[in-house]
Amino acid sequence: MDFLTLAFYLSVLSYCLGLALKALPLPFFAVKKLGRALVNESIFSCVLTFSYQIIVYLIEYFGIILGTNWGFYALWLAEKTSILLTIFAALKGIGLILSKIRLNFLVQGFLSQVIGLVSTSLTTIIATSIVSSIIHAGSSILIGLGIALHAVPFKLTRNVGSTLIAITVVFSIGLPLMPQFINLVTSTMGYTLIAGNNVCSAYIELVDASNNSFGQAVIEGYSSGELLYRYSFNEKGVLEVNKYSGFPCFDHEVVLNVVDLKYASTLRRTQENAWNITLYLPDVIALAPNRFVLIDSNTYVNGVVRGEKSVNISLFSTDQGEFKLYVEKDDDVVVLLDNVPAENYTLETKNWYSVNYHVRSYILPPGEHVVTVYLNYYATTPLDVDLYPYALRALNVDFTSPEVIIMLGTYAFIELTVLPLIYIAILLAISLNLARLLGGVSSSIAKLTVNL
Amino acid sequence: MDLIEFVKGLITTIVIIAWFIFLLAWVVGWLIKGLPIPFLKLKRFGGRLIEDAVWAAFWLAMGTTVFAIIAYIVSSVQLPMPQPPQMP
Repeated sequence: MDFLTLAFYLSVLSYCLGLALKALPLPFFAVKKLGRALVNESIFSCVLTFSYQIIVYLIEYFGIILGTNWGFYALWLAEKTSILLTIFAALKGIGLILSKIRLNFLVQGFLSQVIGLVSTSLTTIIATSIVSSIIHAGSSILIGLGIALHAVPFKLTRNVGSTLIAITVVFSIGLPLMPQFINLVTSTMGYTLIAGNNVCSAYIELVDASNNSFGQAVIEGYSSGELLYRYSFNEKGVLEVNKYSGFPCFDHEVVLNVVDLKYASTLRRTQENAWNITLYLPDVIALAPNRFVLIDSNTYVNGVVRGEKSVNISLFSTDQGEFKLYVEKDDDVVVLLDNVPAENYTLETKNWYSVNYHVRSYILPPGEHVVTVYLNYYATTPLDVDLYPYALRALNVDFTSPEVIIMLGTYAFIELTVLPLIYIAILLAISLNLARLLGGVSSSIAKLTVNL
Repeated sequence: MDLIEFVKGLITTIVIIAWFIFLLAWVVGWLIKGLPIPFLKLKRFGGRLIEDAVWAAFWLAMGTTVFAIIAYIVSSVQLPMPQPPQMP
């Protein structure tokens, strides 16, 4: 149903009703006052109906100003959920072992309480993600419904309507900023749960052969063959690991995975408690997140020119070689080799962490060539990686001393239940104030519009 | 039943009733104002009735015209509701 049309006609209805009441030949002042109020309200509702597009633009505008990013928020939720699930699994495992060695009193005592805390955090995070997707996907419908309810005559549903509009507006802008709020609060606390000096934070950038950021890759750390951590680079080619997730503070081997490519290297310590490094992919040219060109060892990159929809790559090949183009399955892509459409290629499909890739292999004759790639894509599929935070490895969970994991569970409860609830309470308070503005100040605003 | 059609029908009815009320109020107003009795307060009440009725009729005429124009323009250049944004 078209809520806006309905809202418009409802406003007209209250306008006509108001004037009919005003014209009544009765000596009761209250009736006339009601008529005037109805007219005022109807005009305010009508203005609100026509402001629908402005409201939608305002949400976008404030979102851009405040740095709202739904993709980042979804990734944050996924990361926290996976951490909680890991803690949950670890706690259950400890409980099982403890009960097997007849230390049931420990399980029944504090351990089960911590499991309760962790599952509460998990529920909060999942509930928040469901509510956020409802608000994000249905914001236009919710605002339309709010406006229609706002326009019902005699203020019957005005409060509900304005609350609906206000909540949708405030939550659309504010909810994706929750990670920033939580990071801010926990950083002021200056408290890291995982004590000990063996957990650091890290800021790692991933760049391609032309020093351009390379989006979406998976990094794994190993020490003497044991997996230490597994993280994923975001679409901007950045991996930020806080102390909560943790990064090893010692030298270790890293393996970078990009689709079927593997790069191994050793990280050496340079700084105290925080890594700040840039990893370089020598044979890859990024086109967009999840899309790149791979060149072989006989080929060198002379230069890369990036346009809005196209990338020009100057290559020099010493021998007969080939280059491969990795794109997502649904992308529209046109490849020109020396300004001639390159039609001869072999196509492979690959699935990598739930991203469906099409890999095209092109033959490259010896000599200098210009490869032009026109790329048109709609979305970037996020990687579905089972993250393995280093913190859990660093916990070195010892079932005879579960205090550490109890601390971790309780900290997770504070960070992922208490702080999100505080933040949602803040957003609700703002929403209610906005709702009061929409529902309560109506007559004064309408009086400014038409002076009856 | 379409809710919008129902509201439209309701509006038509209310507008007709409002015009009748205006006529009634105008007649009653003049009746009271023209009464051959020496009560000034009563005559002033009649005058106020006429005044209210005339203002209401004026705004009714203006309002219905403006709203009709808006509805006409909107229906002739009607755009579909924008698609809800997709989750990335």
